[in-house]
Amino acid sequence: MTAATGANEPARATQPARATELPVETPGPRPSVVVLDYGSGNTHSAVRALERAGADVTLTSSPRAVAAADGLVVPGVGAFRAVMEQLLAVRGDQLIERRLAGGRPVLGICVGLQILFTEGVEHGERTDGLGQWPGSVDRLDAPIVPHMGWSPVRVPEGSVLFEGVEHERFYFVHSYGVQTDPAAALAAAGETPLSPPLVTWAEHGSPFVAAVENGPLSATQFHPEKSGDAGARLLRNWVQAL
Amino acid sequence: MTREPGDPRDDLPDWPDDVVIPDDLSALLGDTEGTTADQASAAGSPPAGVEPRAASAPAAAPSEGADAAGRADLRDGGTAAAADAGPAEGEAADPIVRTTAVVLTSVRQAKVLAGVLALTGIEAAVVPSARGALAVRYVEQAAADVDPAEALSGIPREAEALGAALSVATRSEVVLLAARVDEVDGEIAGQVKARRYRGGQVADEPPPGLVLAQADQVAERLLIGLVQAPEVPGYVSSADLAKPAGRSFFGRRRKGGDDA
Repeated sequence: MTAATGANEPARATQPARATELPVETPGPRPSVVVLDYGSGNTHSAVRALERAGADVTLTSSPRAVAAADGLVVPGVGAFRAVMEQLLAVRGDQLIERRLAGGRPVLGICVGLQILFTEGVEHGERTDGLGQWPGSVDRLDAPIVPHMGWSPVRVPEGSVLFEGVEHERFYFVHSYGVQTDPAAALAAAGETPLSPPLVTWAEHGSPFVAAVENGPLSATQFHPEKSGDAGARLLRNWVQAL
Repeated sequence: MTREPGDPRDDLPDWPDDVVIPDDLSALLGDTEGTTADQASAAGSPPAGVEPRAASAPAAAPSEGADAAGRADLRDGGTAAAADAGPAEGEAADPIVRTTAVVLTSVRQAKVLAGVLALTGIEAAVVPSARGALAVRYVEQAAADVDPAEALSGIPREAEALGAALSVATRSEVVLLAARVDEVDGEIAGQVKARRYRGGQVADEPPPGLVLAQADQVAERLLIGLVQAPEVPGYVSSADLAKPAGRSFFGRRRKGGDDA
């Protein structure tokens, strides 16, 4: 497999020593979360991590379940084109679009972040993404690719996802990323009725987008489900906001 | 099957005789959850956004004469004309394609946006929202008048012109949302398209879901048809603002600016 992106073989990286104190779980109804099952990689770690974060999790691609859930997680592992093909096969584009139209939260993870952008370019071949944010997913501009391991992130003010873990490291496994600012296009337009996305950055050779928060749509390039306590806190932040 | 002289299919020697080109391409669009045009027709309902002309009165019609810029004009000029020159008994009614166009702007006050529209000679309904004033126009077209480009884009030229003109008049980016929705089997179905304009030009076509999520809820209610523009508190029609009034409004501002 030419795993251009994603977690083909997770590295045996050492988790940073800094531990993040997890908040005490508050009693009450657990929000329902669907992890979109469209054949893209191992979803079990995401399911388990979301359950630990306080959600009732279902792994499915049923349109009814996807529409009804409090939150939808779109994981993604592998090549951009393959992930898009698999996603379109279950009409994932429409499921995501419908949720967003209703202001219902969606969280993309790894290639699940990448496919939310305009396009992906792998080996010179261009594939349309979902176009939720402007930008192209290209091969990382770094001496060593893939980027595997724990990296710090630069979190913007106002982030809900990173509350309490702004200075932590997260676990990345990827060869491709978005290296242009998706908020720049909106900012360049001057006054606009739309809110620009909040962008968190990381660096591997050059800066790339580590996470995006934009109303109901959020996504991370890293794997929160494999990012230890910091990732668990991030998922809990997302689940608690549902 | 006989063909009229000049039929474009004459240029296609292998074109099968049993293939019929639909007049209304919009019937092929907008299916998102298994509600196809065929299914809708089979259920006795028209496809999303398409209704027979005879049933063109809106479910929640605005008060008479209130929406001078939009629906009232269309109702008078559209339905009345249809009643005058309606199909003879036994003839199929000419379907009407309805589109609701809502333009999101960053102009804070509805009255200011209506003034800008009045000064530039653009007629539209304007309603306030928490995220900026919205310009609204209801477009009704006989299905036969919808050209393929409009059908494919889901955005009538009239709505497109409103978005482009507003981006020039307000000197800022605006986002046009165009919706063709209908109730099919008790569920609202249809399609929504988004298009962003800057300086009179199309900047891009973002997926509408995230745009809708960021807009005030009144935009969604207008697009779905749960509320008509004149029913929104703070509604202003640019047609109701006489040009001199619009001029004096901006004249006062300009004078104040000069004084400062």
